[in-house]
Amino acid sequence: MANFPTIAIGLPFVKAGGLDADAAALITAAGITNTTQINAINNIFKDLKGQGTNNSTYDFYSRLTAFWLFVGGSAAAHKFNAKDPRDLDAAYRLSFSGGWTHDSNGSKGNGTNSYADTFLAQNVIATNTNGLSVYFRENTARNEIQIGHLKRPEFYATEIGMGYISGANTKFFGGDKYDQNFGTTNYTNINGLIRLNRTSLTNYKVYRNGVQTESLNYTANTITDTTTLLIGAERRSDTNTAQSYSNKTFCFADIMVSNTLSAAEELVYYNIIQAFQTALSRNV
Amino acid sequence: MKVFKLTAAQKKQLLGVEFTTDNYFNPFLNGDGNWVISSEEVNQTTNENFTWVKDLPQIEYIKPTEN
Repeated sequence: MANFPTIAIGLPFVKAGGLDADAAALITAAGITNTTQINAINNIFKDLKGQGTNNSTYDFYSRLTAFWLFVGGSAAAHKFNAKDPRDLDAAYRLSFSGGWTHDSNGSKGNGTNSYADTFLAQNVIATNTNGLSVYFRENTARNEIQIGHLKRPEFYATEIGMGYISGANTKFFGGDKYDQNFGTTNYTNINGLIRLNRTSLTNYKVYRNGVQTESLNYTANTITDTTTLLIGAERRSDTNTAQSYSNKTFCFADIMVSNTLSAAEELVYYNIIQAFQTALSRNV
Repeated sequence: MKVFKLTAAQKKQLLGVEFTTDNYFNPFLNGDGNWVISSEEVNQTTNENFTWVKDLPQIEYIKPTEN
């Protein structure tokens, strides 16, 4: 009798090693059926766990509290926290308000009234180690916040944004459980993966595409506010409203409430996120 | 850029209402003091009870002042 090759029937095409169980949970929740998207999601889960081709060393996955991949082309798919893809506020599932446009590039804000509530409260974020990330496509300077929270009236910020000084150079604008302030770097290119990384009670850093751009020696404030962080704007605590809306297309965002990355890890982390965006043909 | 003007009563009606799957209206105060919604919200509205937003008058967007 002839020997015939084994053929898998009824399963999406996935590279050798199979579909990661956590990736499968997200894919199912978001109703994703596109093979390219399934493979990209599977690979980023493996990479984040230190089991992939772009990272076989570090476990980032266990350090992430929430991360959003913005894959699937609709709000119904983009809303899920990949770490806990239940359709619940308590799972940090996004709720989109205002004028968003969702497509294969991610979720694009309109810069006037669009934001996504993460349902993750500011007081959950630790003072000595934490991190926030956003990956967005447009290289356009603008006064806006891409992810964050502003405690008023003190102006304690936990946020990533950009702004001008005297209408000139584009600067990092935000803070990490500290006052809103500008960084010192003038940014010619301001898109890609922007990360805020508090490495100690007295210092936080800003990274762009895995490279440190700011190191700021500001001691974190203890903030007990229970209002939540937004993506695409900042939450103003005293009025519990959104402001400083972004017009960027978000392709990735994450929050680590009590973990941080080393300088070496930052570059690996960026390589993982960039490989994911490249697989989806939306990298910048 | 154009936005769509609301009365105070319409603003109350729309706040937090789902205009299409997993997207919610967010009326905001235009710089001229009028309540408005964005063109994205109007164009994407599929909620049958709120398709009247497509007939709202358009006015010019004026960036509100932030404090």
